[in-house]
Amino acid sequence: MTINIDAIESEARKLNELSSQYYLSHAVIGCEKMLEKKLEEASKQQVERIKKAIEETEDDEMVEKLSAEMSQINRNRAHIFVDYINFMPTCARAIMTNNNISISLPKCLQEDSGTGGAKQLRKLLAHEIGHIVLHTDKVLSNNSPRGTLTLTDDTEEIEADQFAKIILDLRCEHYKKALESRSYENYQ
Amino acid sequence: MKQSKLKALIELAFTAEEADCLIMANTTCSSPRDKFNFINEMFDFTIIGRTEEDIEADYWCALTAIVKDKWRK
Repeated sequence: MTINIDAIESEARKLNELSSQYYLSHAVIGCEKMLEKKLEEASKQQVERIKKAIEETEDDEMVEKLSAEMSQINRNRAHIFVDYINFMPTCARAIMTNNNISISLPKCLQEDSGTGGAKQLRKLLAHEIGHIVLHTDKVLSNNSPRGTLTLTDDTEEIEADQFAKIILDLRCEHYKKALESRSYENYQ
Repeated sequence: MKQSKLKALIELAFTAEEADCLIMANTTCSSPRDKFNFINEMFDFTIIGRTEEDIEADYWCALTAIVKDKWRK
């Protein structure tokens, strides 16, 4: 078997280039994990009930019905995506569609790497992560009718700003510690 | 064009710009507010966070999320 080293390197470089366009990726992954834990806690009783019912029944149709109910719980899991948007001033949005949460960031900042674009993107992203961590419970739990739009209020904006400031400081501290202890060598 | 067909074509658009062209060509909406109200009526989405008020940003972000949703199920 021949291994095409050039093709592998080319794919790795493509991935590296794409990765460098995204910020706070650890926080985004951590945020997804928090949403998963919340769903787990909220659905524990429901899962217990389904498990017990499956254990007790010999009816195949009932098992199928209960399994479908179980899949429905999984569909409630929210996933986070980051998009860069054209025609957008330097602001951000977090929008939920079908349990997907899209964090929308301005493309103009992504292209503006020389004059603090990255710093602004990190701030905007951290603010929207703040909304997801602090304010999505009510969105995930309600069964709002089609087309319902929930806008955040002033208090929630202040809370998201405060969250952004803290998470950015914490991530900065994390990187500083990693540099000081030279633990980045572990990445190799 | 029937609303159901327009809805399906918007969802199947490859970009938000393509979806926007469909809305412009098949509705009477012209301003960002009109277009935002139109998609808000037609699709399920919720704005969880916004750093500042701007209806045009609301429109493009929501439309992008709708268009990209088909790859994310």
